Amino acid sequence: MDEKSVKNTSEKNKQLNNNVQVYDQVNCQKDLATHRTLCAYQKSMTTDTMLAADSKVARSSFGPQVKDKVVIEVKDLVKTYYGQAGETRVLKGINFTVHEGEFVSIMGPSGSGKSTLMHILGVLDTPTSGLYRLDGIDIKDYSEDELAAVRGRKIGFVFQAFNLLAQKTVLENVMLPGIYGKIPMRQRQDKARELVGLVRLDNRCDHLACQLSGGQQQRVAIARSLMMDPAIVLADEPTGNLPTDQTDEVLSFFTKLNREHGKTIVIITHEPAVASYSDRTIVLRDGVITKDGPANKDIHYDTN
Amino acid sequence: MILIEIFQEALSSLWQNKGRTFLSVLGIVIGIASVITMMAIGRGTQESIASEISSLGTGGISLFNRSTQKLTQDDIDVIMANDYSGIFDQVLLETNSSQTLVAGSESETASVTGVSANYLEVENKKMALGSFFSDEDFALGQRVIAIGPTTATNLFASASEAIGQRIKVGTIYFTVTGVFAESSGGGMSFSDPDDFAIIPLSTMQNELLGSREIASVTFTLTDETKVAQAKSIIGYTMLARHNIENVDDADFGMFAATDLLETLSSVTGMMTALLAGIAGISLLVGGIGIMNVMLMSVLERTREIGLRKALGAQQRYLITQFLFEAILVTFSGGAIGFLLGWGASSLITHFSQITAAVTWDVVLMAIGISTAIGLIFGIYPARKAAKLAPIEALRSE
Repeated sequence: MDEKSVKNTSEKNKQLNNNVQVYDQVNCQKDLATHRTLCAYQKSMTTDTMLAADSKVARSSFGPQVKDKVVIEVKDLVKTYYGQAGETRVLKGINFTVHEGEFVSIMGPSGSGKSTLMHILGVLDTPTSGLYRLDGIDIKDYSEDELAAVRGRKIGFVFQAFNLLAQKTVLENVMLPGIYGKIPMRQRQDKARELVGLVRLDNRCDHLACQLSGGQQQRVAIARSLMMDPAIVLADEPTGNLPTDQTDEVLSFFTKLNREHGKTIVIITHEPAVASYSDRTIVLRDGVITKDGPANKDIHYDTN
Repeated sequence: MILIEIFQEALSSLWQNKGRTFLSVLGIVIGIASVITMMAIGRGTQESIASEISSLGTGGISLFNRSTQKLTQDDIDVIMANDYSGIFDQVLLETNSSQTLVAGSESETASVTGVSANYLEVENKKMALGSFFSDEDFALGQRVIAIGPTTATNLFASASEAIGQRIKVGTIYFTVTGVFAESSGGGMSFSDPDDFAIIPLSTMQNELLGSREIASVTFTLTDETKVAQAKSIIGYTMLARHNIENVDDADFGMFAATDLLETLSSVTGMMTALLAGIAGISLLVGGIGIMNVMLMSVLERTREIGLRKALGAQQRYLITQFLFEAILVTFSGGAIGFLLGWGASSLITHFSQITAAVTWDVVLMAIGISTAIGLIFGIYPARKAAKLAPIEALRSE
């Protein structure tokens, strides 16, 4: 990529950010209206029993793979930090649900509370008040070790910094969650090989993680996130450390996982272009949701 | 099953940080090696002292006069009569005096001892030249003498020339029947152990002293473990026969080589403990070094710990992994230290008088201690790792 196109991209991104903000402010109400219409439409399409089960949960589902099962249920979620400077309310009552098979992006500028929300969704942190139910499990009152077990089984993490064990091979990295999930060795190996194949790194199985490019490392991380067949794949700025030419490659794997394997995916990002790969975007600002609606599909990376 | 996996994780993480692992192993290696070497030297000293004492040949108990000459043949007969269970084997009667020996123009002062016929057997002596006295010599109190190799070369041109020659002791001439072999050990006394003369007890009493005096009696035992029992038989018989009520007033003394052995081994035991204690301090320092390196490793691997927690690692798995790492380090340090200590002990044995003996109990102790050090000094860093908050850990750079 030459200098000109880098400049182009960054300018485009700036513009896109502006677009989103304007879009947020102007269209929030309009979105909600659309949302309601959509809900009404979906309601009319579902059976009575499902209606009964989900009657208390606002339906907000987008995308071709969406099923009726709710995997994330967040209600009146509040997170307050108590520091020396007094208390800081980072999340001020968040409400949303994610159904199985959804591809959701959570957006917001820094300080909006999206990292905090990601930590709570990833069971790395617990809410001050409110409900968080993950795949039917209310994590309230769970002990540290129980939370670890929930993380291991229900969530597949993909981090901005990849977080692979540099001196281990690709296969060993992918197998790691299986150790804590107590999957037998042979089964774990077979599964890891299959997942490495899925992210098209079959020929790199025995390479050390530190020998791979950023994009390849992130693909290993995606394979690793699937080791335990988690309820959700939670990706925190998954392309933040990647050069632009590798972002599309990584993001398209998320799309593939969602479309072809029906995985529920939640991506936390501040880049509209990343969010555009998803089907639904939740926008956070100052600890509240300012937008929850279909993702803007018209924004793309300039990958030339 | 999962323990094996965690063990493998610990092993591979140590392997991936070879430099750090090597440094932390070093302290334990030095500690264990020095403990083993010190203990081997201590044990070796103890054993060489024991073997020197046993080479003196007095495996039994000595009974001797204190000041006045009251030890008589009758005392010995009653003691033997009181030995119902047959503890005593041989009884060697001796009496000695310092005399001037003259042979031709040569003369010297040496200890002349009158002994009973079982002398060779009890004192574990051998003749190099000539022969010892006959039963007739003992019975008739003949003027015969057997001399040590040093005495022989002092008085005659060579030891072999001494046989059949005459030596004047006091005013009486004795005929040399034989020369003793050189004594094997004998580093214990300041005088030359090979400079002495032996004559029959009866000759000593009749010709040189003019009294039926016995200076000392050596009892050998049929069972070496019954020293205490033998001593009580001798002691009570003597107290009763000499009408002594208070042990402190006894006109006789008793000495068992095993007493000396016990005293010396308790001294060398203390010395060994002291040396091992000093070496143990280096082991302690090594242990603290391990804790230091482990804490550093926890700090350095904060992100990895956070990741493992995010991937579902429960606290006990992390504690186990870090403990395994610490124990692996100290255990292998112990093993290498043992080999080094063993090598050092062999070198000491090869190049010095001391036979440094590495015994199995020391090996087991070294392995036990090094593993325990891993546990003790590993638990704090391991708990610290396990308690890290996953968010903080993942955020660290």
